[in-house]
Amino acid sequence: MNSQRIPRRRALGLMAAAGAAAVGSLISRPAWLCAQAPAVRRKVKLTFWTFADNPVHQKMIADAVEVFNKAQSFITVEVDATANSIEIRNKIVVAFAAGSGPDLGGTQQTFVEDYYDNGVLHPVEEFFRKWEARDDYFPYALNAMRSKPSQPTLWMPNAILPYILYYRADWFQEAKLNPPVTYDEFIEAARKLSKPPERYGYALRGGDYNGVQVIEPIWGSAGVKFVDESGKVDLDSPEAITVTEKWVGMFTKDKSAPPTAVSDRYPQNFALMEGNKVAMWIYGTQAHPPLDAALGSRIQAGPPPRAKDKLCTLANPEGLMMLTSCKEKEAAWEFLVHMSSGQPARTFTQVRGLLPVRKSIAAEPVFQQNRFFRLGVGLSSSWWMPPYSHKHWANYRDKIAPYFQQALRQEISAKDFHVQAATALRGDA
Amino acid sequence: MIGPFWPQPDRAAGQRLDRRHRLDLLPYAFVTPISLLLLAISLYPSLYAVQLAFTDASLLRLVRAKFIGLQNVLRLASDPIFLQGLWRTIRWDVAVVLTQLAIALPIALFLNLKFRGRGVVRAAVVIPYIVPPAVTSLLWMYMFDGNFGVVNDLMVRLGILNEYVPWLSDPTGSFAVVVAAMVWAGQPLMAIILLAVLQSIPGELYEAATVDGANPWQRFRFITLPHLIPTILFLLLLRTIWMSNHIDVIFIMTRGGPGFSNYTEAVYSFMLTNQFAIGYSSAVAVTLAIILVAASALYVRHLAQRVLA
Amino acid sequence: MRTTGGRSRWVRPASLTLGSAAILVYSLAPFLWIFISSITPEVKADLAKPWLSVRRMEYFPTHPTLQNYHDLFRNVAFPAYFQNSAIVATGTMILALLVASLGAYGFVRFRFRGRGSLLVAMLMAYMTPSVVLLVPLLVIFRSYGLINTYQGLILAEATHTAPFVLLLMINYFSTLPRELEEAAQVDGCSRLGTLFRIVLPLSLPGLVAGGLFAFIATWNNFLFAFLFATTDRVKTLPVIMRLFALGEPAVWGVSAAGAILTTLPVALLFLLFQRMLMSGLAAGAVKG
Repeated sequence: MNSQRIPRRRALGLMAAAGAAAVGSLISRPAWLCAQAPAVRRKVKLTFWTFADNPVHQKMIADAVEVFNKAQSFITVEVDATANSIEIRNKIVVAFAAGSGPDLGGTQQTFVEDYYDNGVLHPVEEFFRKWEARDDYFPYALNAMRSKPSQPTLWMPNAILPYILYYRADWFQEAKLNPPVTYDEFIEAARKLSKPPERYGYALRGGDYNGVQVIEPIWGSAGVKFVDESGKVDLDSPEAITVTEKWVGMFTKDKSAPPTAVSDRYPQNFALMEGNKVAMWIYGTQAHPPLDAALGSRIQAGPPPRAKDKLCTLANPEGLMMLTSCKEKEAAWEFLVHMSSGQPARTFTQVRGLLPVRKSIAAEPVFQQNRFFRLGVGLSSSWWMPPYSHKHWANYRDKIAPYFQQALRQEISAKDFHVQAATALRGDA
Repeated sequence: MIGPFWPQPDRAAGQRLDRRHRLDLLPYAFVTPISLLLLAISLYPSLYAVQLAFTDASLLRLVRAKFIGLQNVLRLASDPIFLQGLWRTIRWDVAVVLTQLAIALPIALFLNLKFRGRGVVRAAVVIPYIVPPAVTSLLWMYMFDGNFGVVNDLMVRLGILNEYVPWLSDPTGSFAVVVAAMVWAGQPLMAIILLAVLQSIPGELYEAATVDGANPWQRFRFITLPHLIPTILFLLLLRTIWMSNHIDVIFIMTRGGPGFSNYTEAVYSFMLTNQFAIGYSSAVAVTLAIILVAASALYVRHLAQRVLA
Repeated sequence: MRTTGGRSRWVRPASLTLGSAAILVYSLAPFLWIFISSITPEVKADLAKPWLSVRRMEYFPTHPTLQNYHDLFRNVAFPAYFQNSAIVATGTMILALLVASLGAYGFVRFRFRGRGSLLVAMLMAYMTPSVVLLVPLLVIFRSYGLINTYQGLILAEATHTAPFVLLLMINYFSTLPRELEEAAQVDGCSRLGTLFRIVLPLSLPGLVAGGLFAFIATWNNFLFAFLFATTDRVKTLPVIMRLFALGEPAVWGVSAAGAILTTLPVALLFLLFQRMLMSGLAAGAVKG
């Protein structure tokens, strides 16, 4: 436990070193080696289970871990990154329940409260509080690190995933349309650009929960609070229903979404974009490298549509957490610092297509040169999350996807869908 | 439930065969290895699952699980997803198992003939079974893709369809595609097992029948079929159990959708486990298991009477 | 078979060819597409840019390439995982065949108290979906130190393949006439010896089928390997390859290459193995 106070001269020296390490040079040694003297001095082994979206991501994680292991000879981290983001939750929780949980885990914002409430996550407050780099974090990230103001700092996000609106600039130009700003403009643009069956206006996703997730910020911008301070759920309010009616209407009435929308997931949406069959797609910034490679300057991005005056850009943090099953917490903290600083922090953001949580990294040129990154950073004042920390959020999130498909197929109405969503968010089955 | 319904051990017959005094223990020696294996690592977890079915356990905090008696059962009785899931499971089982048999049997009969290159064709038959399930699921998903899939492409070119069909966006279409994928992946095993049985039918029986003037259909009906029937029944039972518990292909291809149209009981149980509702999930799974046990009771009786006699 | 003259001279070869062609097309056509995908180049600039997923159907790639195989070996320690898979699958096959043969012989040739109940109990244990058994299984394995070991994986896999092989072998043994075994015992052979020297050789086709099943089921199994193997030491192919196929974006060309490399060696093994055993027994099993 780092309980002794650091003398001022040493503190200044450390901060200078931290600054130099963070801003300038190529990192071949982990940043923390320059920032503070490692406290752990005996051989320690840690297990780290995290998710990877694809083999490139997998390799990134393995490489970052190897750098850490090679740079010092006391802590060895064993990494398992074979799960995707759905499976990793299950794997960690099952192992934890059986008493063989890992020391460190990778997670996304949505699940943090769940983990904490159930005693799986160990807050990093005691370490983070004393870490110099904490001021380098964006306020949005700092807020994300604790679900409620009264909570300690829970986890260490190291990247943010904002959802932007990709669109075919060439088609918009051809149709003499401007990229949509308001929600109604968006619905209208989708309709105008549709020429079924050759092409459609919007790559609507119905195949899984992500299809609902991209509508959440639009509900937010329509004034829906989901859950307000007194615990009242307003997910079945008229504003929310109107938004969804128009959204579903893209598929059922306007025919501006492809007929496969009901079952479409990421690969299908992407193939539609790449295959010149769809004009717009709301998705995260991590999709921009392959889109750029496929379409070049024909693909541009703008802010997601807003229903009223307030723009809400869904921005989901992801990163690492320490588990209560960890017995070597100082060593685990050193690894967390490594993954949140220097080259790993760059890799997990820039290379992966996500935005950084730290100002020093966001200031680097690449985040201004790339038009998608520039947009994502530029939207930072509108970054928004639904109330992930609400007690029944998991209940809603896990159950709602099939009902959305039913709404698309007109087996239930948009109103019924919202009644179901609100029921789930109130904690009933 | 099912008790012993055959005669007690025949001591006299045993003594004729084996003069050793350890006769009583010998059979147990044979069945002990597999009993240990299964009862320890398979039966105990199943009993644990039964216990879980009576609690409100969540995977996230198993220690706080409370015994809630029959509440889960009552919940099942009024759960539309579960109730419709029974029908969906039966429909899935029947479609897959019968189609697999309908394809595997002719293949097995065909491979039983002697011709050049038979070994190569046999090896080719096995390939769908070896392809990893994740790849198979994606393969069939992409083949039937509503925008770029090869099946749509070919059918439009051949004039069978006017426009592309969004197979997976429709309950019937997605069911057909998932069944097709599962049949393709599973029929090789049936074919190989049936072939192995066919191979063990003595050739003299056929020769004698031919000499007696029997035609191919009569040979099939009176020699081949009787030899095959026990194996067919066994395959039907085991494949049904399997398909009832199967999750992967359905989940990867459809996530159980559209809506709940592909939520078999196993898929539902899996979804519930992903939501960490392990108590209720166990209730669904255990109910499914009980139904399977009841359904297979007839087969076990048949097995005991015909096979173990 | 019957030859009644000129017409049936070519009807039979023609129908054999047609039948073979139909079977080959049904079994291999989708697999052919996997093969074509594996030699179709992925569009990419460098390793840092993820590859594209669903592509427009290219029936004949204009520039076939082995790059996907190259990438596969570069990104994944394929030989090591292949070896792990091979060890675990072979171990499970042997274990399952062994205990199932012993057990089946015991069930078929002896009448002992509790025979029916025991069989039913085994079948029952087989009927619960694995998903629900995960936590207790993990607890058991952890307490016996079986996590991340070959033995642990082999045991777990054998558990869910053995019941099938058991019933298969019960099926087989029950069709064998007792005379041969009784003759052997009169000659002084023990029950165990009878099993190994008379019964098993006669049941080779059944053993091949059961062994193939156990091997493939283990080779492709994801769930147990995913939970019980968290270190690279024992990880098997499905755990590694899944992210290639199911990732976002998926590297379809590389996962196709992986699928080819995962499937063909096993198919080749089967080709060699079954030729040796199955065709030799077509002439009839029991004499006299």
